[in-house]
Amino acid sequence: MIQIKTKSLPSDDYYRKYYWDFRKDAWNCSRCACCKWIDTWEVKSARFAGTCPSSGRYKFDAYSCQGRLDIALALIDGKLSYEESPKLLDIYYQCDTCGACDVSCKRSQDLQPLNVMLEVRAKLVKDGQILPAHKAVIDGLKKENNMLQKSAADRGKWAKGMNIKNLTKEKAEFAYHAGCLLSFDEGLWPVARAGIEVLKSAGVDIGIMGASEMCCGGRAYDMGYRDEFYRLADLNEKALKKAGVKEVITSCADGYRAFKVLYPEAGKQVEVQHIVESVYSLMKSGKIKLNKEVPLTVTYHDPCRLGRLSKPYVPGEPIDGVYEPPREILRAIPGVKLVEMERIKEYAWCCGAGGGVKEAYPDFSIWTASERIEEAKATGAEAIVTACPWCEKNFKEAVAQKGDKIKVYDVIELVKAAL
Amino acid sequence: MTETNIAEMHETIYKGLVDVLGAENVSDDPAVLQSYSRDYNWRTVLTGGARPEFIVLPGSTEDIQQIVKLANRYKFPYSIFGSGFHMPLPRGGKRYWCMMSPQRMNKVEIDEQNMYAIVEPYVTFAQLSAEAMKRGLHVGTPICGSQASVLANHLFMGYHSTSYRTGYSPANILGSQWVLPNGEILRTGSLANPKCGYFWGEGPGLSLIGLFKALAGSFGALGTATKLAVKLFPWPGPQSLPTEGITPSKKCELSDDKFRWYMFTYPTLEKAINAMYEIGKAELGLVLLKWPTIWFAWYAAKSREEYMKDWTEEYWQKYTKNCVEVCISALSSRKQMQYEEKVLMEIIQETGGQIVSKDVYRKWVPFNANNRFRDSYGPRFNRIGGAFGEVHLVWDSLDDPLSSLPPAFEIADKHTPPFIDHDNCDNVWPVHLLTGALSELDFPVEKNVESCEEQAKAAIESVEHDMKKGYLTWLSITAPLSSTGPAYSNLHLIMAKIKKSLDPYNLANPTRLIDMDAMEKGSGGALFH
Amino acid sequence: MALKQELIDIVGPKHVRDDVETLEKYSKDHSIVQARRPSYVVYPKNTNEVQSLVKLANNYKIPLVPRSSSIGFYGAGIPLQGGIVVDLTKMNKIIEVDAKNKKVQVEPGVTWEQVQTELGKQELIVSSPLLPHPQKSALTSALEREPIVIPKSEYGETLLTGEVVLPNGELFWLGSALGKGLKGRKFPEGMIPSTRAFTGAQGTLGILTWANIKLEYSPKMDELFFIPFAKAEDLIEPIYKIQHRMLGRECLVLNNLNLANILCEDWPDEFQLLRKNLPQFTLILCLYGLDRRPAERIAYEREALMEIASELHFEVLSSVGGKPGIGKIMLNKLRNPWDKEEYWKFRYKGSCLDIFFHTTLNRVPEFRRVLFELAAYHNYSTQDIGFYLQPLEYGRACYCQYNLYYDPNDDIGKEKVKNFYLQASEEIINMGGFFSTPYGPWAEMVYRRSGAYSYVARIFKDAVDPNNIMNPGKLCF
Repeated sequence: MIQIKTKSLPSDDYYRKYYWDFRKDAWNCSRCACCKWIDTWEVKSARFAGTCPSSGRYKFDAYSCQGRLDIALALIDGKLSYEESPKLLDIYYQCDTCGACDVSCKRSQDLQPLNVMLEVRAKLVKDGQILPAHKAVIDGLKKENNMLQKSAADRGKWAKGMNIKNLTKEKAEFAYHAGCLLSFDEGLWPVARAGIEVLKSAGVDIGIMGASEMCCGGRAYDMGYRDEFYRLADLNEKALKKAGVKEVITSCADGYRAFKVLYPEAGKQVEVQHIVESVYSLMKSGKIKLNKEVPLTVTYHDPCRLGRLSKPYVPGEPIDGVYEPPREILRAIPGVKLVEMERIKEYAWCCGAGGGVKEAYPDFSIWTASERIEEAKATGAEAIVTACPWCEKNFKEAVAQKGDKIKVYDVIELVKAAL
Repeated sequence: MTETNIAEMHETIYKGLVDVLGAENVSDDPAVLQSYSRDYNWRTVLTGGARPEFIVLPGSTEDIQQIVKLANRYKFPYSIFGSGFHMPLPRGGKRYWCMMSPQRMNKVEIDEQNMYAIVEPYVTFAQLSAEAMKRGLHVGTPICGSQASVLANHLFMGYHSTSYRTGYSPANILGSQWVLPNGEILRTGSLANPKCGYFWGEGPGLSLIGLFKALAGSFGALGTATKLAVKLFPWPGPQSLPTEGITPSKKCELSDDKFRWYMFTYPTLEKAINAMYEIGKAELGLVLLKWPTIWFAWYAAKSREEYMKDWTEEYWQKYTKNCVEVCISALSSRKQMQYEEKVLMEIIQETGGQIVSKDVYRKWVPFNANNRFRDSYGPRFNRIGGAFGEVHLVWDSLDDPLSSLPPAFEIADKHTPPFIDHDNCDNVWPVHLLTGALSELDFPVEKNVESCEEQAKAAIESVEHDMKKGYLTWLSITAPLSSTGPAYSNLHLIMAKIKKSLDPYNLANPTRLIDMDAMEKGSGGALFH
Repeated sequence: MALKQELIDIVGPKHVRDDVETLEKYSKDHSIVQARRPSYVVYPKNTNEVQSLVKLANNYKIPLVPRSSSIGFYGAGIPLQGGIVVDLTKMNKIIEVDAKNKKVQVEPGVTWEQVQTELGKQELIVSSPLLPHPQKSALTSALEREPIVIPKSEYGETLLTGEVVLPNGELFWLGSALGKGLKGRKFPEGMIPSTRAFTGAQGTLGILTWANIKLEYSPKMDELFFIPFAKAEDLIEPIYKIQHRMLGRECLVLNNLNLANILCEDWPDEFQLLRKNLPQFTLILCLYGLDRRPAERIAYEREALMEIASELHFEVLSSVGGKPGIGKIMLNKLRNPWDKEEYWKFRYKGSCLDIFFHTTLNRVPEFRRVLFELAAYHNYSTQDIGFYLQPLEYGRACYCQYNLYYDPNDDIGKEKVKNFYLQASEEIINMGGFFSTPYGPWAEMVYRRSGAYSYVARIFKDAVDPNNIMNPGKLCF
């Protein structure tokens, strides 16, 4: 047999020890199609095997991660221009940036396709390729520091009547960051209020920024508005430092991921835990006791930004996230029976609300949520439970639109019911 | 034709497609087209890829019929793909190329009692496997990964990790349905009788499926498959695969009382092959493979760094050289496993096999072995350099690799570097309880022009060598018949007549199976586009 | 006469016949296909001669009809348009036995008797159909996809590779034999058109001059079981269960008429007794062990079989019908061609018309019901219908054969059977029975319904046989 006499290894360092390179990542997409499907070991039925809402809905490969990488490469290499493609913006923005494709890709490659797509969005914005629906939202963000085009002055109203420390005036160990949606959507105020009640019942020294709370900037980042994100990151870091809190507790998965992953990348430091982490920890130390029966069969939906997008990428390391704490909480509630959907944890199907989709493509957003509701119904669960207000809101809207009977809750609502 | 004429024709075809399929299922947007312009193949690196001119989403056989009829009316070329790993990219400088993207054709039906499934083009192995396992059945899995299309894989190549038991794909195709290049529907096997259904693949009379698929398929150049029935096999395992852990560090371990894995090495390939003969003769096992060290390495590594570390420290080279892998299972009963284990151990001892250490076993089996039943890590082969090369892929007897591999090693060696080290990659995969075996030499290639040019040279040398020596290998059979046919009984003359009759305007994936333009000019055409 | 001389120049004077007796003999077989006479019968001895014959036929545009066996059952070898019958029985060499790679290379004239006898010396065996005629060509059985009695393989056909003289006179090789460089040359797939495309073609696509056929190692130990059933419906679930657990080797069902016919040594007394004593249906299953620990292998399979029997309440017996040594006798019959002078199908009444088709096991009872209804309509006694059910590929499908026995000397009876046969065949096709090898009158019935199949088949045929000289009139040609 012929023996190879010299060890021939790749000449480019990129193949020996991974580093982020926008073009190289796009170039090295091999069109394996993994990005369209969940981990193939986890597929339990033909119906719930897809992982990408965008390619699931719009079908053309352009709407998949692979397609967008091809487009990214063509844009860099000058083979495609903004002017020649009327569909380009839609292709790039009809995506929740949920990262499911990214996880599937990482099963066999060391690429960061989600980052490539986010970089393209940033470039689109920088080059003035703007979606009108997003412009309105960002204009509101610039003026009022929230994503809902509401007045900043109304931000703290959800906490009316609650005896909570105001961190602009008082000190507390933890800052509860409600996030934009919980702050302004009255239908979801019970979630924020329940969060405070649960934490206080466990003796957590918690305060809120009230009307001074600002958007974390995470959604703006995902939509490509980097400048806005950096502005808010800077402001938030300063404000929280000034408030002197040890850590932020949030009910919003968007905020969680922004503080935890995006801020350090931007050179900003804000310690954060999600409220399910807090509750789980308090449960384990006995400070929260779940005694009341809540007879309900539930299934848990993993929010993307609390799950697969909640940690920086390290090649070869598990795409970990906050998967077990909410499940442990649900299992600990007397009367609650937890049944799992087919696509969970790092390969969970998105709720449809992220990445600017809710703002610009509401139909697609609800379609995505409806797909998830179908999956929840298939388990026989009476309720779908999640840990992110954007997920909850989108599921509620999808359920209402279809006239479904399945209930939608945040974990914290069930915890409160069990206290 | 002037620019205006071209633009007008483009508009005419576009409108026709929209009329047939609806606007939401047709696109000529450059960004959409761009996403169909390249694939993993080294050829694409060299050509830069090619955009089709239209992408359409047919939803049914009837949709495809209408597209094909439109193609005949306006004389535009068309092609279709499965998952898209291999793209039927426009070739030969042809205009108005319409590519059919199969996402809407995703139905799967299973006849549990009679063990077969009917699939449309966009059903993946993972989907079919999941539905089959629920019913106590399974389908073979290709090593490009279970995200591949069942239909496309069975019609393209279709070696599966259980092919030792479940056979090579042409033997696993039952009834099939095709849209011919004239728009008519061809049904083969039992499906040719409208009342019979899909259950049987041969006949009636001569088996026409043999015209569309042998070792390789016909690349959509003789017709477009819209439905295929494929065999399923008894599965003694659970209804879904048990997993543990988080991507990319997952375990998948099947119950020890139904499945057991064995890995044992030999000092030479010849001895490993002899052992495989004995195992096949004793009819043991559900899986029997001889993997090369590099395949272990690239499947096992969860990152490039891990791969580089293991490879440069020669971990897999040390512990899995000439490694035979066997899985025995309780197909008939649990006592079958006891019997097979006893006999297997006897064979290992008699043939001088060395069972791998517990460490190696634990590093491999819990994380990778069950890829044989549903492959999740196949695409890892593109991690190391970004591309993938091959110079040898031959099907014949189990001992043929001993004579057919060395010349392939020479060719690969000549081009290393820039080919990336592969430690004499020598895959030997038996088929059909030793009816034959596939042997393969592939290796990572750095995805740059220099390396891919070298791959092109090696591929041409390999094909020329094959043709001269009379080997029938993957490269030589997938190159256009117009170029290779003269070395194989002038097969190209027969196929040209068939192609001409079925597709007089040369519209169905032109140049891929046979370059009719070149045939008409009296030349063979390029070996590789 | 110039033609005759040219034929003589190719094969030699002793190997060209045109006497009336010979021509009559080759004008018919045991089917109902109308007798048609050839003009010549030639007996080539090697590939060169075959090639020359084919080229000659193209020059004269005269049909060629290849025949590899000295006996025919289904009309494939009848020269519908006259011409030259190419009798390949003189090409009867067993070229090579490759036990290691489980193949035997044979010429077309090698009979079942010849090949099994030769292989038996080395404890090898070719998996065969049920009791082939000893003079039947083993290669033709494989080429025509005759179902074998062993459903344990996932690949029904035994034909691997081969050499074909195409109707245009060119040599072609099937499967990996197309690439001549490897010593193995046995993989059944090569370039398109594959081996598969040439099977079931009834000699219309060329003349096979040698083939590699798959062989198996003879079991070292066997245990044959007989499982009796009173009704066809009761067979189905047990067969599914046994096959899905991949038990055994030979596995088939015969009704009492056929089984008595096959087992009977002392005709006719023993036949009547056996027929009376045998169960209505018998599922015959052989467990086996190879070289290594055969008894242990049989033991675990037996245990699994008994589990199924207990679950589905059927008996598993070592003997039925009161015939001593039946197990050994049956086993011998399953692994060898028919060993008596009068072929078993002709013993009962002198002749037999077979209706055979593929279906799925769960549909077997409904076909049986319809066939019996038609038998009553045609006044044909159902007691005279033989039944053979062959599970295929672990129970994925089955091959169903009904034997309509009749007296060839009774013209009225013969006509009745023929009408019954034709109507039953149409009805079976209407119900979805699949005639995978449409012989004789089935061809028109099948291809009339097959849409574009015959169109594409003709394109293939035209590509290799532009002058339509190779066995014209068969299939859809």
